Amino acid sequence: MADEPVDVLIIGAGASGAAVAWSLADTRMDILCLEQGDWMNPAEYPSTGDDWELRSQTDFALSPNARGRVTDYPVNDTESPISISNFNAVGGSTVLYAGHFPRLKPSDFRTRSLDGVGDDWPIDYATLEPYWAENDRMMGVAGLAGDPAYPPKEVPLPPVPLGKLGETVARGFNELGWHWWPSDSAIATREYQGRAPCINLGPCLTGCAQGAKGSTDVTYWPLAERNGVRLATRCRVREILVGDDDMAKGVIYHDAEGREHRQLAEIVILACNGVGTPRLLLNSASSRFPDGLANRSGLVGKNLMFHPYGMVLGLFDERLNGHQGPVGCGIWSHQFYETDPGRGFVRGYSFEMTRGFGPVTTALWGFLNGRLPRGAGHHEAYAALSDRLAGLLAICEDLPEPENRVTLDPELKDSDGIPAPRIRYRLSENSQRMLEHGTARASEVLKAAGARETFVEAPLGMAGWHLMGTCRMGRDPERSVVNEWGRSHDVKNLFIVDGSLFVTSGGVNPTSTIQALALYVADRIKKNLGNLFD
Amino acid sequence: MRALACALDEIVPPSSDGRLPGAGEAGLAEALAAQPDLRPALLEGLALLDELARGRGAGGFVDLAPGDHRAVLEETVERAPGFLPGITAQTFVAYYQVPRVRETLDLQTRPPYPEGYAVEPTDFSILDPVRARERFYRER
Repeated sequence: MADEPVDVLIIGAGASGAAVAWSLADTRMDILCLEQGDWMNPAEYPSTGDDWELRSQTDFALSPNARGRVTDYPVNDTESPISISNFNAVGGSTVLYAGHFPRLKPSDFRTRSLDGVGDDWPIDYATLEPYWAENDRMMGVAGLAGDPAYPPKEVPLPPVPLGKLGETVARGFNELGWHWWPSDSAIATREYQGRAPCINLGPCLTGCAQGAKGSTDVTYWPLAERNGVRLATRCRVREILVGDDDMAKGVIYHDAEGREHRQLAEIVILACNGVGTPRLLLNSASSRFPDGLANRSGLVGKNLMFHPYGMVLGLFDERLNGHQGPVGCGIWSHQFYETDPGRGFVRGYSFEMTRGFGPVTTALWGFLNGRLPRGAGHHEAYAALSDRLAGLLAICEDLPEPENRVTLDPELKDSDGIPAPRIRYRLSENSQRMLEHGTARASEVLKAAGARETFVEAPLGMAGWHLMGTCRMGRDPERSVVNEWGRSHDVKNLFIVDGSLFVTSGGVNPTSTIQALALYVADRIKKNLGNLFD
Repeated sequence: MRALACALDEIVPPSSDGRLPGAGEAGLAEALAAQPDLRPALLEGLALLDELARGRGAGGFVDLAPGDHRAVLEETVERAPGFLPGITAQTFVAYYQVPRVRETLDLQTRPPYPEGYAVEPTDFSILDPVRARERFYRER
């Protein structure tokens, strides 16, 4: 079955797919986005029911393997200490993300020149600056201007209140004389472009029932659709088709009933994240591209970067009201972001404050960490934990290494019979040292804030949220998959706009930069429409 | 069901001041037994509890002297290593969802949405020491 050809076909309706769709709508081209997931219904998010904590372990679990939704694809991540956390729906992983919204920094684009590691990006901080700003307005970012850790920038909305827990942690940083700042957060702290303000529900990681969190189903998509972009859900792309002229012709996809369709297009844009995009390219091998589409460099799927997370929890004597307020948006610290050779590793990390241990989560954490006994002493132990835990996450820069990669699993398949991705990843010595440094410093902060004990978990196993580097950008076709504006070196009408593009990872959450890159690539497409394929 | 309730009261006993019920007393035996995923492990574990109790001369687990329940429960670890940790985790999860328990502990007794929570605005004078710093990122 063949569908009508379109000008632009976008695969994936998450963070980057939404941004590129909205921007390209200016062109009045015929634009179609295929998304394998559904529209979500915020009225059904876990925070609307009594079982809100439990559902973070079942149908709203971070891991697609744990969720097992028909809209998800399985991932073999058994050869990685960090498992994949993503979501497949309109809005993609922004439906489940925290909304913590830092940008990369100027030095992140020049790690080879500055520190002799990784590679320099083909673009710099200034190139992305206008796109970050535009994206902040579109996503509705809250924060406070004046952070000395960043070049000057404006923030559209006032910051998320820190609450008792945040103020407690902030005092710890002040005690040590270390940097901290209210996080840039994709959370509407007042009514903003039709979105209701945040009411401090807490469990942002299972979707925002209030609609205050900036997931792209409530930010970009309503505007993109109003501007003529068509979005088709439950359409899972199996393969990108390519002609003898090395140009993409369109895709084959499966609808919700598993029926096969052929969708032709003049331009194909991949927005499937750092695992989904290489998976699709590798699944699109052909006689002209036997190692996977757009993979003459051999780099598709290689250089997978996460951000290894170190989590430190501090146990305090008094209650912290930790369930009140966005779980991952409060404070960041960039005290240890830039390279200091004296620390024993290159590059650096940021801190992100966390809160939100509910009653059940507290009990489970206590059980798993040997802090909550059965029998005698149970109630006293629970009382000592309840609402008394505050967390700091060390988000470590991961360096690109070709051995860390996405391939196709020889056996595992999704519900349409499409080969699933397989992750091979090991923690580098540099990342290990950085984690040790980060967790030690986080413990110091929490103790300075008044914690009587701290607990460390590193690397955090379920923290494979940030998927980067698997189709890196660059000017040299032998050392990169796409050029400096996201166009495949090998297939001139194929573009990539997701986290696969990252040359290095930085040490901050990537969504802000992923979307800025998508807007930048869209802008370059618009400016080069006359000779786009030259 | 009596044996399961008895076991659950050993895992989370009533509080010494009587304000908090034991997990069995709170009615969790029925709730756990109703979970199809748990049922096979529960049946196997309960049969083992009875067997171990009979080895001590009792008719079954519920017939043990009050001080012996805990000891028999712990004995299962050797022959059914997953039973006690599994049932403990499930009991903890279920116990802290019981409204009476949450209310007594002054914990959330409603879903977060739609009411949400009021958080006091932050006095950002707490940032003054940081504001006084020079910019410290590398420019290029």
